[in-house]
Parts: sequence; structure tokens; C-alpha cells
Amino acid sequence: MNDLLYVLMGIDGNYITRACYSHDNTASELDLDSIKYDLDPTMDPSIAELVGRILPLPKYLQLIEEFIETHSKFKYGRAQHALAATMRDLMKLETQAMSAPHFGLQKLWFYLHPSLNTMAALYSLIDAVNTAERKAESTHAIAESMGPEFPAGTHQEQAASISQSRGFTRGGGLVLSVLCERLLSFSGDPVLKALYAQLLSSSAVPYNAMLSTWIHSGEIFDPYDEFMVVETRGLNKDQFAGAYNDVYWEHRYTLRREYVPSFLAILQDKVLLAGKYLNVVRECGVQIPEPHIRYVDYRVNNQTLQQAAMSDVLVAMGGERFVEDIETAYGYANRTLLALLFKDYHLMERLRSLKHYFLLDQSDFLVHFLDVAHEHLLKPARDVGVEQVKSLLELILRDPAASPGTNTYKEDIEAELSSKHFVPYLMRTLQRRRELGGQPPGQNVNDVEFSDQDSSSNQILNPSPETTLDGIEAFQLRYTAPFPTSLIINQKVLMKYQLTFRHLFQCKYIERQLADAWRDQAKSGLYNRSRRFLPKKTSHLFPEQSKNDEHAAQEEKESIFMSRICALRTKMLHFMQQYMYHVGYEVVEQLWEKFEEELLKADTIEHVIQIHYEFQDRCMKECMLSNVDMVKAFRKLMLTCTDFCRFSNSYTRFKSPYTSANDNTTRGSVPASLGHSSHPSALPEQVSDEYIAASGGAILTTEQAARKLKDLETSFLRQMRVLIDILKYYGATEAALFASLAARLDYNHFYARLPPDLSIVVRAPVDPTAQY
Amino acid sequence: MPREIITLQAGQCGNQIGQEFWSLLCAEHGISPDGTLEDFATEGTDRKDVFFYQADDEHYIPRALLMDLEPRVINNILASPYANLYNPENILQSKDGGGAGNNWAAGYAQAEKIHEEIIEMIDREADGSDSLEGFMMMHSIAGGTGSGLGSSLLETLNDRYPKKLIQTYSVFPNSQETSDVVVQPYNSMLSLKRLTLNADSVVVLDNAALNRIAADTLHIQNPNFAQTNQLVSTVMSASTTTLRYPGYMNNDLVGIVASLIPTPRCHYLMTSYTPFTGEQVDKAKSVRKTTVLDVMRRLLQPKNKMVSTNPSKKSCYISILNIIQGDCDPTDVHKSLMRVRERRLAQFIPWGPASIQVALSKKSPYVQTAHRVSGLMLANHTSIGSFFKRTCDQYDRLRKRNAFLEQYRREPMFADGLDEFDDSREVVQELISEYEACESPDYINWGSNGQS
Repeated sequence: MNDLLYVLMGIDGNYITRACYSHDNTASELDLDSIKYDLDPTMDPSIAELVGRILPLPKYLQLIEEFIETHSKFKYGRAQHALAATMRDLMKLETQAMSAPHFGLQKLWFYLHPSLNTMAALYSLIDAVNTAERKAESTHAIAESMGPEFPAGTHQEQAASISQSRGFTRGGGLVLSVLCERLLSFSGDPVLKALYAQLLSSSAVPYNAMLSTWIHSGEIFDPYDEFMVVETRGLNKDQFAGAYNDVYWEHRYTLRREYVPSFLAILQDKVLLAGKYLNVVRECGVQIPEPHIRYVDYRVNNQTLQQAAMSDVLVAMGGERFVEDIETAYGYANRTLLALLFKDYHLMERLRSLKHYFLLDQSDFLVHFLDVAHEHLLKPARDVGVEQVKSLLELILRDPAASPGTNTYKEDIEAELSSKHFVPYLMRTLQRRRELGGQPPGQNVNDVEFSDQDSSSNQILNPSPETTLDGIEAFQLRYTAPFPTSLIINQKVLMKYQLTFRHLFQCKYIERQLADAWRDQAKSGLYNRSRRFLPKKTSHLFPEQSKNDEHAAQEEKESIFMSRICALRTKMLHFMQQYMYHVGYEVVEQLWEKFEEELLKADTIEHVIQIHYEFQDRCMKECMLSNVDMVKAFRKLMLTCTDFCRFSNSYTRFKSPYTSANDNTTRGSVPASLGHSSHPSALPEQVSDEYIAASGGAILTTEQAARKLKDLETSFLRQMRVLIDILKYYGATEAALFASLAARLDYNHFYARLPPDLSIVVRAPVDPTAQY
Repeated sequence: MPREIITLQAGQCGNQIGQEFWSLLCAEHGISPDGTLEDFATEGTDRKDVFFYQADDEHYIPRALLMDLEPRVINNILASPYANLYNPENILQSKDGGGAGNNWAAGYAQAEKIHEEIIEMIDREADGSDSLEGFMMMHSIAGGTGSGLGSSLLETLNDRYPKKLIQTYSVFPNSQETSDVVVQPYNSMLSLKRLTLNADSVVVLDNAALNRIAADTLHIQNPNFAQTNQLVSTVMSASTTTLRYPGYMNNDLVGIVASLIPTPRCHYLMTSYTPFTGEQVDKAKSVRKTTVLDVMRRLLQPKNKMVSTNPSKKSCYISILNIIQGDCDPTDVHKSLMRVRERRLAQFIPWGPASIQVALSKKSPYVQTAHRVSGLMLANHTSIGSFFKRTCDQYDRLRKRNAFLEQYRREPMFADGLDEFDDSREVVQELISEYEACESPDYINWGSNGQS
């Protein structure tokens, strides 16, 4: 009997030192791998039976011992430390029971019986933990090999640290998960349940402490690399200076899903974000204010409470208090960061400045920018001096006289030139979004088919890469959102603004060109002295002067031609201005108001980001940028308008008495240096010549001009009708807003009254070419 | 780097209107009469530099040229609190100070004499701007200086700045009653020719209509010049709000004018404004409910138009731009537009798309008005032809009798004959015909069939 006791004693806690005792006094052979106790065959069979029943106990003890030994090592992390420590405590408890001397074998069995159960349970737990570890290990290894693509240096560092711990440890989260699972599966057995509960609660202490510092102050104290959130070190903020700020924040803290204890799984995102936001707040150099420390206290209290009411809370470990706590922390973190963003970082003003620059709520800066820069922007994009354009934009934005109240954050805006064509870029975005939306790509196939049939639309949607992009098309703005605001104003958001801006910029440019065309036409004097409106008798006052009459007839024809140009220009300008009105007042302003309202109500960062996305998506949709049909119809119109502007420009210059050749002779008195002979928006002579030459319209013969004008008239009217039909269709099926636009575009039913056959409308009554 | 606009004030009426205009602009921008910025206006979102520039001591100076052939009005200005607002170099008074004696030819001839000085002033002012948008001229066409000097200015500007926009605010004489200036129709006719050929956009302000508005809506039976001039300056300031308070659209003058004037010659615009209140003209105390629809409806009413015309059944709008100031909801605007269309409150040209364009604009934060919304309509309407026809009729009556022509013959331009009168008459006749033609669907190709 003493031998048996010694066996128990010998294994208990101090195996190595007491190993000699067990060797001497029992016949059992101790082996670390397979623990086996050989019984002295001379023993009383009844005792032997009893001993046999007791013997697994030392076996378990030894295994547990071993587990404790290994898992207490440095690398295993605090959760395991805690687990091991708890187990050790338990063991001590058992030993105490046994160390009472003088008791018989039966008595011993009586005492040992419950602990045997306990030990068995512990044993199976260890087993489970080990299996889980092995499993996790293999998945982890895979994950490791696919590892996140960080800069090389970081990767090595990380790989090194992970390979160190490989084979030994998994996150404390894993252990906790296992514990939790077992707790739930053994919940029928009150003893085991209590046991597991105790184990869980005590081993969760360090983990919870980590969690608590994370969610309450945004710090990670995780020396053993076992927390669910990991900070990617070596990501230098400066490295990501500028536009990648948000990417940096995406990557700096990442959630390791396999490290998340199962009971936290549903809350994991909130935990991550809560800590992250607080971290952001701290990063901004703001002290986590007083009320927050109270929350930490509360947290501590909560923990003790939790231990007291252990079983209750632990039954559903993610119990209410726990959830509540995380929720509170999450809410708090969000509130703090939002307050910080709005108050100290003027998020609202920033967003307004975005609206100002990208959605053109005060577009006067563009007018002036184009005045000074359009000369540069007319060149092919690759020839444009980006620096020059940049400095010009800067010059405009920093003009002190320009409304001091609005040009805030002008230092964050910068000009740049995109290398991508706008439309394919937009189309790709649309396509991607549609794919993400889970819709079958069938619509795209249709589009492709359609564009194959219609070569012009094909050209619009997929300009060949060789097509040079000129500066106007390539121009875009770069906005640098400084660090905390970049959480909201991230790359994705900016990209959408960028798309909208490029579209609006081109619209503005066309509107401006049309207005310029008006000025050239009005100033050319080709029209004003026309006599064709005089009653007949006056126009034939001098019938005998036939030569004069012929000249007059020619003038008449020119003036009719001019009036056709004017009429077409009016139509285009009308269309463009109605569209710009629609964008400005019906879409952006309306949505913006709603957006600001919701923004003030929003209480989490996610919500803010989401309503921002929604705002942008609606904006783009209502600006007709998210529907392939509309984009196509609209782009065609824009191209026709651009084409017309070139045509009109070359025509009026060709016909006008104020062409460059005549300039000096007619107005020799004006010193050339005066520089006021042209309007600010007028093209500089030289550039303009190149520009016209490049447009292929060099100097048109009258015949060509007539044909060209007719083509332009027909195609504009046709496309306009198409657009109005599309708008009406979507106005009926999607947003009534489109119907309103359609109604305003055709306010006096001009387009509705057009006969189906447009050639009747654009007939040139007398072909002006015949006379020449 | 704004698109600057230089204002030219010619003659008695021009300078009086100008004075009202500048004092209103100062109030709206928070600029005190001596040009310094008021403390409350330093953080504004407005663009002051379209109409003002800053002197070395930061005080604001209007880009204005004050011209007159007699000293009375300008002396009044120089005795007012606004005396120090203007650049003294920009004030031009004729040396002999005799005025033009209500004679277009005299005004024109005197302008020729001081041509160099005028050009010097304009060039200096133009050089002081970075990207000059154009000129805005205020004058009346009835008297001698505004019409004669004004006509000369128009020709000079067009010749010297062939690509700059020239807009005029021209006050037309009261054509419904005989006035103290008997030769008024002559002056008008001669000026109209220049306005047609040399200006890009003419805002027609009819004295008869101004008096009517003052009497009907403001209950002033015998309005004085100051009161009617306030009406004019209100219109002028409202029509430039989108330039001064930039928004999504209409941030340059060209853009505004281009959409209003489809074909270059039909560039006469009529205006209406509602509601006029006590701030603009004293005694107009009645405050009514103003919704966007109310404003739009009232803008289209003939009695609110600042031109008295006799529209025929065929008369129609070539284009309309409504500048709505104040807080209004774009959905209201759309509803109002649709209502106007339903009720056929406005007829449009049949030969092209036309609509009521709307520009929403901020109100000046420094000027309080009793109304939530106010509106200005700039419209190109074919019935303006009937207005010119009346001028022509009056002219014809005088001309048939060859009355009062002696004083014109004394001036160099008419020394060799009165061809200039006939030519002007013909130009105006063409203009009238063109406006009539505008009512036809064949306008664009007008005359082509008849000719061949």
C-alpha cells in the first residue's frame, strides 16, 4: 500500500527528484512514452485489482505534469500559462487530499475516485488541445506559405518569428475555443462543467486582459503573439505617406481568424475596429480621455464578477455582460473617433471641400483654371507638362481674392494626368460592380455584341490604346486626405469622386467651348449685317446693280449657313446646360443635403463610410454614370458636341474678318503687347492652328463644311432623341429624376415634334455649295 | 484670376444707375462706402474681384469708368459718401462741361474729341485685369450723352477689343407719352443701330414700364429717378449674382449670355424681377407669400416686365433664364416648371429646343430681405420687336416732317447728308423683321427660298 502511495507521491509534482523512490519500491517500470506499471504478482489479488483501478491516475498525472511542463515554456503564450497554472493548482488540491497519512487502501480509493474522474477529464482535454493544435498547425503552415504580401523585409521578420513558434504553439484563442467547446459538450455533468468553467475562466484572464486593453485603449500587449488581432510591424507610416494612408490602416492591424476564440467569433469585427479606432485616436496624439478609464475599471469589476458567477456567465461564454462590454467599448471607440474626426479634423469641412473640388459646387475655379491652362491641356496628354499644369492650378486655388471662405484645404488638391481613357475605365468599374453584385455577366455580352454591330459606339467604349488622350481628357485631381480623415476618405471613395469629376470636367469643358463658339460667332460679324430678313422690296432696292446683288446673295447664303451653325450650337448648349443643372441642383445638392443630415446622425465609423458610399453611388447613378446605355448615349452626344466645336471654330476663323492674317492690318493701331484683343478663353493663335489641324478639319472648303454641318445636325438630333427616350425609359422604371431631366431637355416639345425622318429637318433648302 | 468685367457709365442716366448699382453691390459684399471691407464680411464666399479690385491699402475699388459731358451728376456722386470709392483717374468729364444738349450727334462728336482719353482709360483698366471677360455699359438712349457718347464707346470697344463681350443696360425712353426731349426718337434710332451692330447683349429697360411697376406694385404715383434707378440697379445686381456668388453653373458671363441669345442679332433681353421690397424701393411694404411657383408665375406676367410690349398671338420666348435667389428646393423648381408648361404660361420658339433655364443663386448674407425667394427673369422674347416698331413709328413721324434736323446737321457726321439716319432705320427694320421671323418654324432657313 505504501508503494502505491509512493507511486502517487512520486509522480506528483516532483517526478524527477522522487524518481528514485518509485524505482526502489515498486516493480513498475516508468517510461515517458508509454507509462506502464508492472504490479508485483505476489500481491493480494484484491489489492491488485484496486491498485489497477487507481493506476491510471498516476498515468494521467504524469501526462498532465508533462503538459504543464512544456506549456509553461516561454513560447506558449499567456493563455496556456494560465491554463497550466490552473491545472497545477488543481493537482495540488488532489495531492493535499492524498497527503493525509494513515489510511487504508480502501480509504485511498474512496478519496482518489473523484480525482480520478477529474484527471481523466483533464487528460482528455489535453488530448483535445493537442489535436486541435496539430490541426491548426497544419492550416497555419498553409496560411503561412501563402502569407500576406507585405514588403519583403517585413515578411522575413514575420516569417522568422512565426517559424520559431511553429510546432509548439497556437494562439491562446485556440485553447480557449477548445475549452469552450468542451464546456458546452460536457454541460450535462455538473462536476466536469464546473471544472471546465474554472479552467476556462482562469485561463481566459490574460486573454481577456489583452482584449480589454485592446478594446479600451487600442494597444496590443501581446508578447507571445497569441492575440486575435495582430499588428503588422515594420509598416512605416511614412512609407505610405500620401494616398496610401488608408491602405496602411487596412494592413496595420489584421484579424487572425484562427486565433479568435469561438465565443468571440460573432464580435470579432467589432473588437478589431474598436481597438483600431482607439489606436487611431492615440496616433493622433490625443489622450484617451478620463471617462474611458472608468470603463476599464468597470471591466475589471466585470471580470471578478464573472469569476464569481462563473458558471452562469461561462455557460454561454459570450454571455450578455461580455457582449455588452465589447459593445460599449466599440460604441465608445466609435464615438471618440467620430468626435475627433468631426471636431479636430473637420471632417465635414473636408467632405465639403471634396464636394467643392470634385463635384464643382462652386465651379468658378475651373473657369479660371481653364483660362490659364487650356493651352497646355489641348496637347496630347503625354506632351503636357504636368508640373506646369500643377502650378497653374495652384495659382488659381491660392488666389487670395477668390472667395476666402471656400477654398479650404486647397493645399491638399493637386492636378494630375491620368493615363487611362475615361470611358473604358468607367465601364470596367461598372462591370466590376455588376459582377460583385452577383448578376450574370450576360448583359455585358449583349453590350459587346451591340457595340460590334455599331462601330461608332465600339469606338466610344473601347478607344484603341493608340488613340492619344489629350490633356483635357486626362486631367484629374489628386486629393490627399491627411491621416485620420483618410479612414473615411479612402482610395475607393476618391476613385469614385475622380470618375465623377472627370466626367463633369469634360462636360464643363464642352459647355465652355460652346459658349466660346457663341462668342466667336457673335463677334465674327458674319451674321449681323445680313439682310435676309428685310421685306423683299427693300432688299431689291437696287435691282439694276446685278453684281452687287450677286454678292448680296452670297452673303445671304453665308448668313443662313451661319444661322444653322448658331441653331445647332444653341441646341447643344441647351442640352449641356440642362444636364449641368440636373447634376448640380437636382442631384448633387439634393443628395448632399441628405448625406450631411445622415452623417450627423451616424454614430459609427462604418455607418459613416457606408452612407458615404451610398451617396457616391447615387450621385453617379443619377449623373447617368452607372448605366451602360446612358453612358453610351451621353458620350456620343459629347463627342458630337466636341466635333461641332472644332468645326465651328475652324469655320468662323476661316470666314471671319478677324483672322490672324488680317489682325495687324485692320487694327494696326493696337499694340500687339496689349494682349486684350482676344477673350481669355480664346485659343492662342498658334495652338489653335495646330489644334484645328489635328482635328482634321484644317480649312474646310464650303462643300465640306456644308456636308459636315449636315452630318453634325443629323447625328445630334438623332442622338438627342435616343437619349431622351432612354431617360424616359429609366425615368419610368428606375428614378423619376431621369424623367424630369427628359422633360426639361425637351421643355417645348421640340424633339417630340421632330418627324421620324430627320433628313427632312436638316435639309439644306438650297445647297450653298452649288453657287461656288 | 477672375473673369473681370469693366463697367462703363455714360451720361446722366448711366451714372445715376451706376451709382445705385455700386452702392447695392457694396452692401451685398459688405464693402463700406469708402471701399474698406466691413469686419463682418471678411470670411465671405463671394467673389468680389469680378467687379472690384484692391488698392495698395486693400480697399476695394470698382472697375468702373464714369463718363459724362456735363459735371452735374458726377459732382453729385463726388459729394456723396461714395466719393472715395472710385478711382479718380477713372472719372472723365468733358472740359467745356456743356453737355450734349440731348443731341446724339453732339454727344457722338464730343466723344470723338476725347477719344484718346477714353481709350487711355479703358486700356489702363483693361491692363489691370488678368482675364477680362468683357464690358458692361449703362446708359440711356434718349438724351445726348448716353446715346451719343455711348454709341461711340460701343464702336470703340468693338474695334479695339474685338473678342470681348459687350453687354449694355440701356434705358429706353418712355415711348407711350411725349417727353420733354422732342428729338428722342432720333437719338434712339441712331443708338439702336449701334446697339444692334456693336453690342453682344442689350438689356432693355423701358422707362414707361419702370414707372408702371413703380406705380402698380410699389404704389408710388410719380416715381423719381432715384426710385426707378433702384429698380434698375436691383435687376443689374441680380443678373450678376451667379458671377459674384459662384455656384454649380453660370459662373461666367459668356455662359449666361450664350444660352440666351441663339442668333447673334437677336440679342435684346427683357427683364422682370419679383418681389420688389422696401429695401429696394421705400414704401413697398406689402409682403406676400413667395414660393418658387409664385415667383416664376409673376416673372412671366407682362405687368412685371420692365419693357412695355404689345405681344401678338404668335409672340414667343426664344429663351428664358430665371435667376432664383434665396433658399429654394430644386424639386419645387421642377414642379413649377412643369406647372408653367401645363398652363402654357410661356410660349416658345418652334425651331429649336427652348426652356426656362434656372440658375439657383445664393443671397447676399449681408442684406436682409423680407422674402424667402426672389427671382429675376432674363428673357429673349420676340415681342420686343413691337417695342422697336413703336420707336420706329415715332421716328417716322418726325422724319417725315424733317422736324428738328437742323441741330444734327450742324455736327460733322451729318454735314454731308442724313444717310446715317436712313441706314439706322434700315438696321432697326431688319431687326424687327428678324424677330418676327423668329416666330416661324422656318426661321433658321429664312429667306433662302425667297432669294433664289
